[in-house]
Amino acid sequence: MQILKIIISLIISLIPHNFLKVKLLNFFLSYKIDTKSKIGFFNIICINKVFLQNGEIGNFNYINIQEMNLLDTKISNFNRIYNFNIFETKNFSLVGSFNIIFGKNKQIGVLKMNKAQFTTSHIIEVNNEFFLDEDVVFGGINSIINSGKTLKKTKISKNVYFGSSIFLAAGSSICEKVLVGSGSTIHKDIIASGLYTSNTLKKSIL
Amino acid sequence: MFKLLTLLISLIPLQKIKIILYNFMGIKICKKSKIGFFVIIYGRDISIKCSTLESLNFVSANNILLTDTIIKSGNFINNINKLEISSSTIGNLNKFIAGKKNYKEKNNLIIKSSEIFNNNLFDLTSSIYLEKVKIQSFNQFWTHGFDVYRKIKLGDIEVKNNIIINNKVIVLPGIKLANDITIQSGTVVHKSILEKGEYYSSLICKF
Repeated sequence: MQILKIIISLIISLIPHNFLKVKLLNFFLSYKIDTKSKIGFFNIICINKVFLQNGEIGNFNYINIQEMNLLDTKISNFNRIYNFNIFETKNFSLVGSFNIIFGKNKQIGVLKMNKAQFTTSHIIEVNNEFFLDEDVVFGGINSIINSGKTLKKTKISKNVYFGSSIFLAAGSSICEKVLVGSGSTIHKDIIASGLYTSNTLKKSIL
Repeated sequence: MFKLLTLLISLIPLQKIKIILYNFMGIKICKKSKIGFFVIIYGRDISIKCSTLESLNFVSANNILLTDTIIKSGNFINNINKLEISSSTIGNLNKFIAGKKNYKEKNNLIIKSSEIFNNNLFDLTSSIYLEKVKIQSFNQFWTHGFDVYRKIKLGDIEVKNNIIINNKVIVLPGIKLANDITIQSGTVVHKSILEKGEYYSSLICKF
């Protein structure tokens, strides 16, 4: 059944006309996609429940999860989103290109984004509840986000910016107005606003 | 259209015909230069002298001047105001990306007598100057960042004379490196280094 769904969604995504594409996806796969939304080429969308309003899914994406609710959200190209339960975004959130968002089990894992942004080439693990509040930006490239196995929620509050190539351990909670420097490792909660880094430059003694 | 034409010319197997056609299109390429397959070159004032541009490269910049340079495969050079590379080697899969808002005025990329290996990222919202530098793989050079109040912070990066940058180094905006410096793997260079020596930022600890 799943293979059939994959094949149908892939064939439909090859149709050049967006309106027709949306109508066919709604008809054959029982998705709820409004006609303002845009679906790109070569997408595999294999989801039980889809609600897409004023959203955009770029080209060459692979999405295989249980439930997806996108409201005013853009998913760019070449992303892989698979093996977790719920993906919910709203309020002009953005997932850039070449990101991998994955979990280990389709029954667990929730990712909720509210006006948050992943730039490019990040690896995001979703095995717990992961909440991103307004103006949370994962900048740069090659960050490893929400990595590890825990039942604790990961919560990032408003106005948090992460630099390039950071490591964020699962279960961490970060307060408002925080800036995390490039290459930092966050393995515990941050409870006061400010700039945090875990690398300082030192001169080695020869 | 211009991009598509340059791509089609790059598919011609004979080097001489390829170069004649590029010159006919206004891209000045000397006879000693070599252009590989699937190459897109786009911009104003392009001049390529005694250089090799291997396959699958995308170069979009104004004022391009390549002299005695080898650019290997899969590089992406996009929207740069001034691109000047001389006596250098650039490896595979490097990205030189400019911010869309600023590319017309501020961002210059000048590389002289340097060796850049694979998979490096150069963010070119501002300018980067590299001279006599050896850059290994998976490094990131950022010319834009944000302060605590989320205001954008731009800064040129200047790396000069006998500098070795090892793997996975992140260089932040506004950094200047003095002569004879080695930067170890995994380092975040967050301030300018004016004294020669070997530098690191991450240490392995025993608990």
